[in-house]
Amino acid sequence: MGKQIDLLQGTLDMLILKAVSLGPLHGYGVLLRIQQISGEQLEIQQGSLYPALYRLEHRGLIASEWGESDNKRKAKFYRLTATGRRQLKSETEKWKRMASLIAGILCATPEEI
Amino acid sequence: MSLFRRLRSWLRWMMNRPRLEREMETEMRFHIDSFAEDLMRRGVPEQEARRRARIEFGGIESHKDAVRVLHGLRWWDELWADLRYALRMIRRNPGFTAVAVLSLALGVCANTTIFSAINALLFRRLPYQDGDRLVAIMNQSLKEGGRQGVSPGDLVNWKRQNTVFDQMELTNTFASKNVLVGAGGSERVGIQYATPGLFRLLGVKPILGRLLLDEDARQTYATNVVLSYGYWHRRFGNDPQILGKTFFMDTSTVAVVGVLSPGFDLLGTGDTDIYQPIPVEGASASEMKDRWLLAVARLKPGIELAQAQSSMDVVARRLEQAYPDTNKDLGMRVMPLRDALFGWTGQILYPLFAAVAFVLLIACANIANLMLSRASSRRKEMGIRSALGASRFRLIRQMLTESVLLALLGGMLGLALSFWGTRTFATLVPQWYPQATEIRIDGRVLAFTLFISILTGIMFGLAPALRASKIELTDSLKEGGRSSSPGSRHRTRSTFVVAEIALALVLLVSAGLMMNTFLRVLHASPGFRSDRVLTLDFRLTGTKYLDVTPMEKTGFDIVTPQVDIYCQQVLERVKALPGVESAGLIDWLPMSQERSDNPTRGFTIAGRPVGQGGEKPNAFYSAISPDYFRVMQIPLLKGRAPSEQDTYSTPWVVVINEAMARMFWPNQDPIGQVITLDTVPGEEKPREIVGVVGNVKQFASRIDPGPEIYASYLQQPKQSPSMFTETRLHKSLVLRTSFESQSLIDSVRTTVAGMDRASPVFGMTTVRDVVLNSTTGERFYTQLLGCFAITALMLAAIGIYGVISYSVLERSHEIGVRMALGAQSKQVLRLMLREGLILSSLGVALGVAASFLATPLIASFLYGVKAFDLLTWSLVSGFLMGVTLVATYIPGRRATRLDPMMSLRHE
Repeated sequence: MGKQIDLLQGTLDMLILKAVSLGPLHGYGVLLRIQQISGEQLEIQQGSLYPALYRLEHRGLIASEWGESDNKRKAKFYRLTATGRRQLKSETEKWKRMASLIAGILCATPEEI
Repeated sequence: MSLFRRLRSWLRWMMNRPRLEREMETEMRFHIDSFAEDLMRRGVPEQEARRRARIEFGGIESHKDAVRVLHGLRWWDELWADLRYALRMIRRNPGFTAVAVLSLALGVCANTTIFSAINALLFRRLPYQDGDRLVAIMNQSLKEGGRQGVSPGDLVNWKRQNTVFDQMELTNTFASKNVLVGAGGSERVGIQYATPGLFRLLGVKPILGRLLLDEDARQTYATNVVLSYGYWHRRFGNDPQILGKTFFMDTSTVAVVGVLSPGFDLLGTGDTDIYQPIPVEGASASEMKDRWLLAVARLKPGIELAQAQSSMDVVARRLEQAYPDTNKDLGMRVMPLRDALFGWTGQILYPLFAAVAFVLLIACANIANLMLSRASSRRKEMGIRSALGASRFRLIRQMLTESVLLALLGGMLGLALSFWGTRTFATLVPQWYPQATEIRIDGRVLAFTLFISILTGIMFGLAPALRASKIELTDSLKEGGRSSSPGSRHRTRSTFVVAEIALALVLLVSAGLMMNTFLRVLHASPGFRSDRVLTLDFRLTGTKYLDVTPMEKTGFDIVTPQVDIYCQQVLERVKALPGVESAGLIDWLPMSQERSDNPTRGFTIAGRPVGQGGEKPNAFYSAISPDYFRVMQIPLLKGRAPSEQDTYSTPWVVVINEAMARMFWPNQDPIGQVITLDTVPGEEKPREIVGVVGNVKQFASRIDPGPEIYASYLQQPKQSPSMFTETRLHKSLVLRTSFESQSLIDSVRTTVAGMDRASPVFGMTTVRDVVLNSTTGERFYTQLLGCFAITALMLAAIGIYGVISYSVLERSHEIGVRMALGAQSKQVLRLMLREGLILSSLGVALGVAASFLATPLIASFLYGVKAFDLLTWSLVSGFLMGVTLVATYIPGRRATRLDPMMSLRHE
């Protein structure tokens, strides 16, 4: 396992939204999905997922429901709400713009300036 | 995120707290278990897997807490815990709680009561349609700044040039008196004149019949009027048949066309019985002299007061050019209607508000001191909390929760007391006080009470909280450890006591000055002897006495000779009654209620040029019967009084008062001088001054008399300008009697009433009561300030008692040592008294300084005593020192009874 990257401040919410946008997940599932997509590159303190989940639910971006997990246990599943979908879309666009902007600045060569 | 959503989510958590907490736990457990299972699947042994899962997850409790903070639950949990703890503390210290709650309740009650009085007059929106856009417009002299009334002619001019008001109407500022004669006899009624549009402007609805219409204002002799609900209820028992009934008012017939809905009382005095229309359209624009009304208008939407004012300023300048005779140097003042009607009460109420604020501050200082004393016994508790990780902020918050809870308890009790307080206030106010029945506890008052309760909680809680939360851990946890700074804590307490004494002194000085004023007013000589003098008023009415037909042509009413004949007959008949020694007449009895409604009259002095700008000297004028001075025992200083021989056909003479002699003939004998009144220019004859009498207080004991002219009622013009007609037809009869008895009063009343059934007789009382009545304002103020000052004094005494008691407790070790070393109890007592004396002297010194700033506030209510009256000040200061010394002596005595052995062992 290569060196893991600490999560940028404020991006966890976005990742959670992305994770549940692909289908309802329980909290542990969200963690697995993020780790899976990132290729085990991200360091997430597991417990801190929950305040983030509750915050997103509090803001109405995700909704929760009790169901049964793969191992036949009671688990709370989260899914994206319509508001959450809009939010994810705008956040993604913002992030892309930001990333390309920062990348452009960082890649600037003396000739270009 | 919207506040609504946040609140909803918070509520959801509050309602389902146990379930949601359980679910949170389940969810996190599930996570850890699943993770551990995954690890085990990868070959990690079970115990190791579970351990790693727990570590990777982090502290469950801290994550849960993060969720709770997120939902605003932690804040609630802490508050709830603090509240429960506070309640326990409050229950566990019943003595402390009782003292604190009671003194707060007193302070809050006083504040709430005065605030509701202020609210009723100065804050509450007028209860009319668009109440906040209603304004009053008055004339104002640009030179002297004095406000003047408005004439119908003014209004016509203003309306022509108006761009800022929707509607402009006129009414008078006091109910003028008249007589209503109907089937069931005749009676005195209060008339308010108004342009018919006033009711539309204010949005007043009739409960019966209709409102006044513009047509009503055009009629001259038969007038349509509307009744106030109060009068209809009181006099006619809500009789719906009242509509269309006709009555006589002087020489005209009035017909009732409507009754206004209950509660409408623009002037707030409850004096208005009948609303009578005043014509405006007929008033010619150049007729502007009769300035006695108030203009009421509504601002157009979007127009601010300042805009309206500047627009009217322009109008004023234009009118000044067009009518230099009447409008020279005349400006206009636009102000909110509420302020115009009631703004003047501010100078009565705000000093009272300051007084009650002082009472509350004293109560605060007291409780702060009690809490400071307790703080030392709670040092250990604070130490433990702090050792367990409570931040200083958290400790302060906990202490403040306690004090605010205490304050809210006090506030609630205070609020309950204020229901009684406001009612008492309303019964204490003098009769002229407006809107007394409107004083009640409404939403704004409740908000105010809540606000001051919380504020006082923070005020008296903050200092103890700051102090108690300053903790040296090692010190406070040690058994029997001494406070780190007992000296500074004691200093804080002493400071509070000094402040209390200072505040109490300010109140005592103010109350003392008012008391002094009241006593002086009571004992001030009115200029006449009021004992054994009865008085009653009668008002002649009907065509027999008054002819208004020449009014149109000459501008004057005619008073018929019947008036004089009637007066002579009344005097003859009452003089014949057994017990009556002498009898006299005057237009209006001095110091009676209605006396003040009557304007002064201009006159010219023969041989003296009229002053610059045509301004003539003014004086009060009274028509009297020759015996009046003798009945009232007003001393004749010079010359003679009018006699029976001075009649209409003999040369006209007058008697003046001393003030007038001094003002106009300071170094000259006024006897023989000739003056001419300018009331009725054609008929009024030059009058020779034949006598000078002593001054008589015309309005109230505390108002110094102005110049006054007395003439025989027989030497008056037959014509009368309508503004003086009321004076001509009204007479106060005064009787000097050999004894005061009810039967005499009854026989006088029957005698006079029997002479003319149509003319009402009223106001039968003793002159002494009339004089007493003129002091109600002073009595009211003295009672209130006295009451507040006594409360303040009590609280301050409790305060110093508390501090000295605590000091005795704290110094018991020292005292024990002193006594063990042979100190006498006298010396110990002296030690404690010295401490009390220092505190109270400091407090008094500070209070004297503060009083220099505060007493000018009430200077305008004082009579016969200066705001800086040395006697009052020193008496009051001495009294306060005495009380504080007694409060010191009691705990000081206790110190002398300490058993040295006991107090030494105690340490």
